[in-house]
This record gives sequence, C-alpha cells and structure tokens, in this order.
Amino acid sequence: VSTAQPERATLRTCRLAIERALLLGGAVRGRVRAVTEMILHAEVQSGEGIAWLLDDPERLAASPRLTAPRDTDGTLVVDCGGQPSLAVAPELADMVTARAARDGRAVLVARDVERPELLAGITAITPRRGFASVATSISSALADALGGPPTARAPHAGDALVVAALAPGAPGAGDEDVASLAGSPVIALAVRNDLWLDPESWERLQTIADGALMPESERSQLDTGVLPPGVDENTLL
Amino acid sequence: MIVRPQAAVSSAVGEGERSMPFARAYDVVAAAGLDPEIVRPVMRPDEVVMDPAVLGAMPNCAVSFSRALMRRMIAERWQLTRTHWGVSAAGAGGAVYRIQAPDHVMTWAVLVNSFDTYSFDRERAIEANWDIVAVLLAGDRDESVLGELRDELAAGRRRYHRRAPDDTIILAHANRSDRVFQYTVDSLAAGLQPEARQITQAGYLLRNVGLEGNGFYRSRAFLSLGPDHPIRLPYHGEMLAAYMLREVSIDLAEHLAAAASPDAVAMDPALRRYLGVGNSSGLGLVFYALQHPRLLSRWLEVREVALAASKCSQPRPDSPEVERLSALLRARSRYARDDVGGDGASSDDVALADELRVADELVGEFATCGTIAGVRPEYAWRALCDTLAERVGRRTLEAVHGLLIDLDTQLADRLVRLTVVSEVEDVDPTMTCGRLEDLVHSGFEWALRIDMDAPDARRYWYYRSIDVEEPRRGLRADKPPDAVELLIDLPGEVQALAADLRHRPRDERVADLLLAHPHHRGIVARVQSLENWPYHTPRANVHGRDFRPADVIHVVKGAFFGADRCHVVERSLGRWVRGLFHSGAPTPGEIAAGTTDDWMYPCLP
Repeated sequence: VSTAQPERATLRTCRLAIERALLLGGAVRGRVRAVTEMILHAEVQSGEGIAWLLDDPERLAASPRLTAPRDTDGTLVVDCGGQPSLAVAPELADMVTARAARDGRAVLVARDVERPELLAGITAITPRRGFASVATSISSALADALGGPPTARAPHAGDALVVAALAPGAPGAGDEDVASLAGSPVIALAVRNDLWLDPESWERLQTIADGALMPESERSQLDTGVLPPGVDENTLL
Repeated sequence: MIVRPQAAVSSAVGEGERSMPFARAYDVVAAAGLDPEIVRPVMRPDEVVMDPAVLGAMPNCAVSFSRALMRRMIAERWQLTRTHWGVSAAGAGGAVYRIQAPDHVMTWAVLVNSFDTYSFDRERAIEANWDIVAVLLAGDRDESVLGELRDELAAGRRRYHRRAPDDTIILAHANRSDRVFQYTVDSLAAGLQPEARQITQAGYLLRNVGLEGNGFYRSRAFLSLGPDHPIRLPYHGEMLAAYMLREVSIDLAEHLAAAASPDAVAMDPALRRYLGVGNSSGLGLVFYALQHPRLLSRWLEVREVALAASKCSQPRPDSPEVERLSALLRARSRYARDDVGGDGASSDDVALADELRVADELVGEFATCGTIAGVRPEYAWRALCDTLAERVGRRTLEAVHGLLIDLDTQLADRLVRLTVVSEVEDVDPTMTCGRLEDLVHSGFEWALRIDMDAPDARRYWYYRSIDVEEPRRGLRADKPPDAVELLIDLPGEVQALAADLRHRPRDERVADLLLAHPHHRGIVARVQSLENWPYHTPRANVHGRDFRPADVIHVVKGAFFGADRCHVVERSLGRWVRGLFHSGAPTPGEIAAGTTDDWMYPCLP
C-alpha cells in the first residue's frame, strides 16, 4: 500500500469496477452483486475490501462450498473450510436470517474462515431484512466452547460469531431515507462521502476492470449499429 | 382489465411466512391520493404494457421527467442568469450560468470549443473533439470552475476516468448541428431570422451526446443531494442540463452572429422556444432498462395509474377538459405533420397526424352529442380508448393515452414524486421454495415460455468498448472465448432457476436452495425483489434474433426521459433512436415570470 494521499472515488464507479473484476476472476454472474456488496462494506468499514480483492480476485470470485449449519444447543455452527469471509458472507447472512426469523434470535459460529473480522458487513445488511445483528471475530477457545472443535483449520483462518435478533420496525429498502434507499447504513456513508482509496490500489482495480471491456476493431464498430457507407445492413442482422 | 400481481402474490404467502422489509412496496395508487378500488381495475396488465411493441409506441407525457422538471421550474419561477461570458469571436471560451431555485443555487459551467474538422461519427460517445463540455454543479460557482474543467480535459484521461470538478451533478457533452448551426448564425448575422422549415430539419442547434452523473466522473450521487433538493427526483438533473444546453446553443449562435456582423439580430423568441436539444441514444438504454427494473416499473406504474385515473373520470360534454383534450389532439396532430420533411421523418408521422384527427372527431362528437361512436358512455375517456383501439394504430393509441395523462398535471406532479425508489435487490432466505416458484411463475411466466434452445435464441451478446465504454451488440459466433458478457440473460437464468426449483421440496427454505445452488443468488434476489413491481422488465429475449432494441430505447428515451420526435435512425440496425428534448419549452425569462405550462407541441414559427 502506497503512502500517497487517498483518492476520492464514487460508490458507483467502485461498484462497477469490483463487479467487473469479479467477473474476470471467474465469478458466476449470480453471485457478483452480493459479493461486491460485501467487498464494499469491508472497504467502507475497514478499508480492506479492495486490497483483498486485488490480492486474490479468483478466491473472492469463487462460489462458496458450504453445507447446512449444524445446531449445537441452539447455536448454529458452520465450518467454512478456510474460505474467504467476503465470499461466504452472503450465505452466513442467510443462515442467521433464517434462524432469527424462526426463533426471534440467532447465534452463529463461523469456524475456520479467512479474515473473520470482515464479516462485520453482515450487520449492515440484516436491518433491511428486519434484524439487528453483531458480528465479531472470536478466539478459538471461545469458538470451541460454543460450537466444538473444527474439522480442520486452514493457515491464517479464524472464527467469528454472528448474533442476530428480530428488530421490529427496522427500515425497509423502500423507505425514504438514504440508508434504506442505498440498502445499508454503511453504503449510505459511501453515498454521502464517497470512498477514499489508496491511489495505487484504485488504479490497479480500474486497470483490472478494464479487462472486461473489448478493444476497438472494425468489426466492433459495426456492432454499434452505426454503419459506414457500403456496408450491407442485412448481413449484420 | 384487472391488475393481477399484487393480489395473486399476496394470496400466495403461506402461513408463518413474512415478507422482508426490503421487499415491501407501498400502494402507488393510494399514495397518489386515489382510490385503489376504482383505479386499479382499470389499469392495464403487465402483459400488455411490457410488450416491447407497446413500450416502443409510448410518447412522452406529463409524468415524463423532462415535463415534470419544466412544470416545477415554471411553478417555482426558477431564475436562470448568465453570469460570465468569455467566448471569442471564433467561438472558443467559456460561460457560466447561475440557476436559482427555491432554497438552492446551482451553476452551469460551459467550455466552448471551435474545431474546423470533425470525425464522421459526431453523434456517438466516441468523439474526442467536443464543441461543448459542460457541468451542472451544486452551489454558486464563479468562472474559476472553467479552469478546473479545462485542466481536467487537458489531462487526457479516458472518458469514464475523468474527474469532474467537486460538486458536479451532471457532466454533458454536445456538438453543433452540421445542418443548421452555421445556417442559423449566418442568417442572424445577415439580419434575418432563420427559416423555421430549415431549422426543423434538425430541430436543434446542439446535439447532446451523454448527460451523465450520479457517480460517473466523480459526480455527486443524487441521493446525497438531500430530500428537498429540486433535482433530486430521477433524471431531473439530466433534463435540467439538457435545457441549459438549449440556452447555450442559442446564446452561442447569437454571439457568433454578432461577432460576424454589426447588422446581426437576436433570435425571434418564438423560434427560440421552438428549438430543442438533439439527442441520439443507442444500446446503452437497453442495458439501462435491464439494470433498473424497479425504477422502470415504478415509472411505468405511475404512468399507468395516471392513465387509469383519467379513464375513471366522468367529464361532461361541456367540461373544460373535453375542450382541452381536443386542443391537445389538434396540436399533437399538427406537430406530427410538421415533422414531415424533418429529421427521420416518415409516413408514420402522416398516419399519426391523420389518426389523431380521428380521435379529435370522436371527442368532438362527445362535446356535441354526448356520445362516442354513437354510444352515450359512462366513462368518456375509457370509451374513447376502447373505440380507438379498433380504429387506429398502436402509436396513435399511445399518443392519445399520453394526452389523457396530460389533462391532470396536478396528479402527474403527485405521481412523479413517487419515483424515488430503492434499487437494492436482496434475497429473502426465509421464503419457501414453493413460494419462490410461485413468484417465478407469476412474474416471469413470459420468460419461461421463450424457447432458449432455439437456434437464434442467443444469437447476440452485449459488451462495451474499452475506449469510451460504448455499449455494443455482436454476433455470439464472433465472441472471443474469454470475453465478458455484460448483460444478463434473464430468460435463461429464470429458466435455470425454475428447473432447479422443480426438484426441491416446496417447504424448503431459499437459504438451503442457495447453499446447494449459489449461482442462483442473483436471479432469486431479482425475482423476490420485484414482487409487487408489475412493470419491471420488457417481455423480450434481448439476446435473440427477433429483439428490436429501438423499442426499449424508445420507451426510456421518449416516454421515461421525455424526448419528442423520436425516430429510429436509418441504417442503424434498429439500435439508434434520435429525438429532441425541450422543444417548445419556455425561455428563461418566461420561466422566471411563471408562464403557463402549456408549451408542448409548438407551432412552427
């Protein structure tokens, strides 16, 4: 990371660049929006989302391999197998949401997840689903106590605890305030203040994202529909 | 005609199920102060409205964003003042305008260039040498902002990598009309007014190519402007920029004429009003329509509510709105006929003009005899539409619908205020697969019916060029294997989801479905998030051979934004539509004086 002054980038351009980087990294289209949202949350909350994407776009782009959580005395425990927190966060958010909807509250222990502290983005998403939540990385000892030892542990992976509870009256995304319209209070911050990025990282991300665009060519020019004289329209339809 | 989605979907909610806050939608009819029990049954169903041929026939109307903005400017008597003019006799330099709305000031800063030669594609985003580059900014700024803009352009960054000055809301590019700009300057310099017929060949002096903001070029997000900002509603910023381009075009022409001759005259106010701002739109609006399903749905719902409300009214033969509708029909007919011989004119304009006279005759019959087609109607405008549906073409019928909406601009104002929507698409993991399957069938049945295995079902793919991110559509057979497709294959994804849902227990939760099939997350979110949004997607396979992009481009550009005189550009593979913004709109002086809103379909001066 350079020591240069942070550079302002808008939420819209950041989102576009992240989506394109994920597509180039091999993400299936159906996951791009959700993972992008988690990366943006991590970037706004801790300034670490984009750097991680740049380090390993294929890993963040990969579809998660998770099984249904096991229930240990009312606590959901899911073994993440060392996968990146930002890649599995959408599924973990679903698990706590589904349980909290059923019981009014949910406690989930995510075992063996890379960068567990970045699961904090889940807490910004659950309000629009009607739940308040907290997410924090926890010690292995606490994770063992809550959910039992993991089946395996990847190097550098850790554990996280996500707790959610029904929050009646939580704003919906249709309500007329910026947080609701933007989908989360964290994203609302980016709407108001933009994102402030390391210039080199931002430049690298844009360069990677440009890979999703096509170079100019004579043939590509015709694909606009603007036909120079002499080109037969019917042959191009 | 009964609106289906709301009732059908609500009844499908199973016991113990709850809808997520993000998925809830309020009743637009009630929010506009209308009675849902009266209005909803008259609304057209989505299978009618979302037919691309119907969408492609919709003209602008009172709920179009350009029209809504102009009403607001007039009602609030905005003051538009030129505060700096530093353009040389050769036509290069800069200008600054101050825009005073109630409680808010904005600045319109313009760089004017003068080039001797142009490349052949002056209507597209690829041009490097722009006649006009301008920014609409929040706040009161002086001419120093022109230096910021000039320095940025000199930096030579690629189009979407450019950095507009802080507090930019919109960045605009425009070029002069090859056909009439210099002609207009020469006429004014000679002490003459340009011939209106000649002007009509283009209808504008400047042609805009891109009005972009909301984050592009580091511009302000519209949501950050605050709920009371005068251009916070969708596309009000873009339409204000388009209006300011018209003012710049006239000021520039008058300036160049005066510089060329001491005998130069100012432009006749009638001609000044008649001019619009040209605009060409291409495949970007197809991307737009598929990427903004909630906004599209809300706007079309607003339009359909306004139309249904008009059909539910019960005017007497001597009611003022009967005379008003007749006047609008005659003006619209004449306006269509005046288009003949102009840019992109066709026999369609003659047919439209003639068929609008048929409509006017029926309105005249109602005014005189109290009948429509010989029958005394309970609801006159409903009877008018039903009769016309059998006598005129689709384009004429939609034009009449637009004029019926124009009859009640107060309702239009209330409805347009409902167009700020969240476009967040999220998953409701608590929903059962059974209910999700029901939603797929109720909201996307049309997509399930498309044969995606047919030879030409995926004939095309969509991408963007690297130089200026221009949207393009190529033959899939020519697609490089590692190239990234940028537009969703909606029918394909819906069908894949439906196929997997058939094999899941109906009581299984969506959370479990997505654990097994994580790639469905996007389409599941879309299906769930569009519950209760009836007009979300044009019913077409945009990748297929039969899809005509012009229909979708037309509805966004003409009906939604509010452009007039929209025509498909010849020899464009149906991928380009030209149109005019603000033709007939009052001058700044008339706006400041609070003129009437009756400016549409202007007479040829």
